[in-house]
Amino acid sequence: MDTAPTLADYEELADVEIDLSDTDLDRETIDAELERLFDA
Amino acid sequence: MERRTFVLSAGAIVGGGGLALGTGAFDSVEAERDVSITVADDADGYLSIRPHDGPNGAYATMDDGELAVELTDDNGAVAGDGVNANALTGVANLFTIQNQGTNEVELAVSPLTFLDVSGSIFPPSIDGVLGVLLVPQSGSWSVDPDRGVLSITDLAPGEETDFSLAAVAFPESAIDEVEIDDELLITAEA
Repeated sequence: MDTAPTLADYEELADVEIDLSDTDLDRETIDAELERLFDA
Repeated sequence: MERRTFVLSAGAIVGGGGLALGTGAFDSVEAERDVSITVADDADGYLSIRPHDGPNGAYATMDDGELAVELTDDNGAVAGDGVNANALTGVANLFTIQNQGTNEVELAVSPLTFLDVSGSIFPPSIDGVLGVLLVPQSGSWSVDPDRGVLSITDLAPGEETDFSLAAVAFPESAIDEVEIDDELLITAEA
C-alpha cells in the first residue's frame, strides 16, 4: 500500500484495541498524525 | 640420420600433448586465495540501520555499534526525559534502513506496535497507557497479520527507507507508571 497506515492497522498487527475513552485524543487525530509522519 | 631423429622427437611431443589434453589428469593442485570478511556496525553493514541524518535522528542512538531508539532520560543528546502525558507525540525521520548489499530484499519489521498498560481489572481503573507506533515513510508496505509484521517490498540495492514514531500516553498518572523496554526485529530477505 502507498497510503499511510492507520491506528486500526496497528491494532490488527498487535491484536489489541486501544481504548481512548480516558483521553481527549481520538482516532481521527492519531490517523492524521500517522499520515503526516508517513509523508514526512 | 639426424633428420629421422628430429621427426621422431616432434612426434613424441605431439603425442604427449594429446595425452595430457585428453584426460586432464593431474595428481594434485595447491593454491592459496584471499578471503577477506569484516564485521561492521549497524550503520555500515550490508543492511545499514542508522539514526536519521536529520535532527530527530538524535532520538536514536548507536550503542556498541547497534541502533537503539531512546526516548528516555538515558539519551544525553536530547534534553527531555520522555514523551508527554495526555498527548500525541510524533517524531518524524527517526532512523533509516538502507540496502547496502547486491540483491533486492524484502524488509520486514516487527513489532510495530508497543504497548504498556498499568491499572487494575477489578475494580476497573487505568493508571497509565503508553502506546508507541513505528511508522514507515513512503514506499510500498503491507501488513502480514499472521506474522505480526510490516513488510516493505522491493528495497533495491542502494535504496533506503526511513521510519518515524508516534506515541500516545495518558492519563496524567501515566508519568513514571508505564514504559516500553522491548526489542525491534528487523529482517531482510532476498
